[in-house]
Amino acid sequence: MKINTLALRRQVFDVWNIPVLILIAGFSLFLLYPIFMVVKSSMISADGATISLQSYIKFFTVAYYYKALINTLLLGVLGTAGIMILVIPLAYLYTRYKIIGHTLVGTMLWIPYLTPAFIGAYTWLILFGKYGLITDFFRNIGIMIPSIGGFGGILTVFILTYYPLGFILLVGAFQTIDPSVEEAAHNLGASSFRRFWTVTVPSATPSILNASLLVFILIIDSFGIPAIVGVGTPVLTTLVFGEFTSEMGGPPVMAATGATILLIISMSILILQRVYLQRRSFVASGTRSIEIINPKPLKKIVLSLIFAVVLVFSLLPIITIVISSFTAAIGPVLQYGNFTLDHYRNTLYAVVRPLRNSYILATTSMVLDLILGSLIGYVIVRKGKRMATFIDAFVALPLGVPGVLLGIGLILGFSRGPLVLVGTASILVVAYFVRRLPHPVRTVSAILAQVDENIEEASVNLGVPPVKTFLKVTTRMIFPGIATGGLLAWTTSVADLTCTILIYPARWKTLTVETYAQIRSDLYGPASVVGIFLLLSVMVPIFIVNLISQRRQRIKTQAVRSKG
Amino acid sequence: MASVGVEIEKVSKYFGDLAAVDNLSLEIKPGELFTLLGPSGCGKTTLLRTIAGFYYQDNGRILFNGKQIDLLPPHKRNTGMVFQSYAIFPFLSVFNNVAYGLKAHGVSKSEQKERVMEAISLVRLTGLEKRRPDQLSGGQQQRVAVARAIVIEPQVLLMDEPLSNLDAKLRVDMRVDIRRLQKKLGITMIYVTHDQEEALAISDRIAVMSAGRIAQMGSPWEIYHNPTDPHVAGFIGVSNFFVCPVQSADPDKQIIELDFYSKTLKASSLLKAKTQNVIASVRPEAMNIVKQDQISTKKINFKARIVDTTYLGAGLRITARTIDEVDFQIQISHPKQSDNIVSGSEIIVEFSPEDVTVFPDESPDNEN
Repeated sequence: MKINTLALRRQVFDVWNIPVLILIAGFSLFLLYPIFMVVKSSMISADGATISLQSYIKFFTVAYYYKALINTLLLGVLGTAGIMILVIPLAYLYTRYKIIGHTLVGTMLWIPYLTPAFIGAYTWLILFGKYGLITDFFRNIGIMIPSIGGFGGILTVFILTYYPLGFILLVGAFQTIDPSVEEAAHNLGASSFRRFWTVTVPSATPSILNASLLVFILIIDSFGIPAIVGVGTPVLTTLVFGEFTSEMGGPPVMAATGATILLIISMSILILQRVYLQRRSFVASGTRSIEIINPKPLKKIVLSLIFAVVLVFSLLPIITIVISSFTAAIGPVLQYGNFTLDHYRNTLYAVVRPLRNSYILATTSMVLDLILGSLIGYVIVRKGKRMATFIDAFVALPLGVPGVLLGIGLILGFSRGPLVLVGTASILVVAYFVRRLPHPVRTVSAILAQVDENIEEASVNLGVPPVKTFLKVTTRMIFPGIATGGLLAWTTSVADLTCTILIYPARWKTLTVETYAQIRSDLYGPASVVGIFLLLSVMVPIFIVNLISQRRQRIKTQAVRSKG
Repeated sequence: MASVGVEIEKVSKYFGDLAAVDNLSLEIKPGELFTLLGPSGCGKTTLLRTIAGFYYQDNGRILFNGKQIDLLPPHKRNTGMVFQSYAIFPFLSVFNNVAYGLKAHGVSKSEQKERVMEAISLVRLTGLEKRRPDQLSGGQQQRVAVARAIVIEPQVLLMDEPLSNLDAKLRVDMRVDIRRLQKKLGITMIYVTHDQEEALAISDRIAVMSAGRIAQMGSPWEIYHNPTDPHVAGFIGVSNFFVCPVQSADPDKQIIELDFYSKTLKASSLLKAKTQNVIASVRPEAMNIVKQDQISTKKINFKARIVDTTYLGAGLRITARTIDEVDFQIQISHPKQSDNIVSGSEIIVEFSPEDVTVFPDESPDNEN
């Protein structure tokens, strides 16, 4: 007898379906429909009436187009490889040896990743460009060093900007390797060098590949860096942007084609990464964690120096931008050594409005992301069962959708018809909302998976209905996840250029657009001022959230100590 | 509040194809401390969670005082549940943890305070109201969980292995406390545990569960001394099983005669002489080692050899082997060093026929 008579009688509409339905409706309208519009536009034939693959044939036969594709792929592969070669030894040393200022160094290494990418790019240009500060310096003493720019320039800046992500992911990986496996190798007579290559690296291979795929997506979707550094070296993002802005009027066939190709690449990488992630097998079985060795003084100094060099490169952009903002300029040329407050006096008025715009847009989309994201995260962990895998994959879709593609798609889809978003602030809110939703979903579900479900059941058992329990108990338990998710969504929205630059309405110029415009006009002084406000907008919230979570951690440790 | 009787009527709960609870019926009297006992996976927690409403049964009914409650959502059933993990709200003080359910029930502020303080004093936590949960020991957290459940005056208290995360000493103290509290409040309690000693110590009645069904239900004394099948006998305490040929059986007089190592063992049993063999079960503590000159004619004795001994402090557990190579256990409560109980020595083992429980032998080669 397995007739579920009672369960049938009880089958009422489950309120937890509502967020899932909103998610499906929202993504269908603001993600899938724009993608469809772009793909459709890429298939419009020259006469504008029939569907054809002419544009793709053109793309793969005309050098102007396929060169961008080759550049993108080459940069992706070489950039990822470069980052991994740099980061694998660094992360290993960092997890095994105590260096001077260990925690501080670890935190500071994040900075290039938190700096909006195109700001980093432009400071490298200030320093190492054709007439860059350091290039000039060496030229004056008679040494010619290669200037940053073109393919090599983009590659270098990619590595310098995105290595922190690889570093953080690999530090996490090296920390979770079961130390007894390494000890076993040591015990069996393997030297440290041999141990590293035969045990440690193979154990971390799943994490290394996972990190590589994430870095690869980041590189091929980047617009700011190639746009600023790589003049004359087209990549897919800059090609699409250029084609789209010049094709205005007719259907943007070639822009859509490029964007679709970029979408196919990043979507395949995302799928590969997710499939791979689910099958990763080398999970540490022991509860023991890696011990950090305090090396002998000489070794410690050498190791600290290595990290000091990396740190200098990490901090150079920020130092440069701060100095530049106080340096007098004659035309586009900054007169280093002559300090002035002119840039602040002249530019401040231009900062206020973009600042306000960026904050309003990022905050609105963040609030929407947090509400829907927390509910979706909850459904995935607590209510999902069979649906969980699907929802989890569905909500991650935006991670594989290039910003340029979404931008074009939103313009194509919502410039006329029943729902017009183009020209209003809502197009930016929608773009940020869709692109950042995966963040709170991931942070919330990660925390919730560790929360004892009995705590919520206890609340229901004591007479509080499920939805009220979610608001009273669950939200309190997942607050750290909400905070980090919100922080990620907010800062990445404020720092977004790739998508914003395509869709911003004139009245809603953001900080990133303003900074980019100043850089493109070679106004490095004012650009630095706007850039500093952009930097502060991203760094201050991260700093505050870190401070709060560290304080909480400290209170918790104290509580534990006072108990014992 | 008057105590509440609980009726489970032919309840089944499936997980996929697996029947976690299988057409199970039982009746719990008002004010009774009723224990569901069984190994993990036997369905005891599933049944408890079905009563609380966290699962909905696929068949059957659940009634409190004759009133069907199984269509109510869990927050309207007014059961007080104590979870194995305690499930204390980590962001609330002890006081607010206990007050949580009263707030939900719309109890006035002043009454809240009075009842919370009373519950806190009942579980002997007075003075710790303002503490945060992470400042409490495991035992104290457990008491908060109990106070939180009783303060709402639930119809039934549901305890899901509440003591399994405590250390052995504390576990013994707490089970005394829980029983005392339950009797004082006169509240009906359903207690889930896999620990047979705990079940025997705390319960008015026990249902031994196995594979989603009740294997045996009765008072702790009945369960221990008159287990109805070898599984229950094996699960509750330790039992020695001896396969014996039947000589004669008289179900009318409830007597069976067995051939126990060439001696005639008369035991009480309702079994008919249909089968060739039966199982005679004897508890280790019912067995004794005697010297040749101490043999009693009223008891049964047989020869064995000591294989191994385990010193338990309060007693001695001996593993011995019969002449036909069957291992069994003897427990002696006051061992003397002079007894010279060492591995390899030959002994005479003695027990009373009253201490024997007879089960049918269901092994496939026992057909007649």
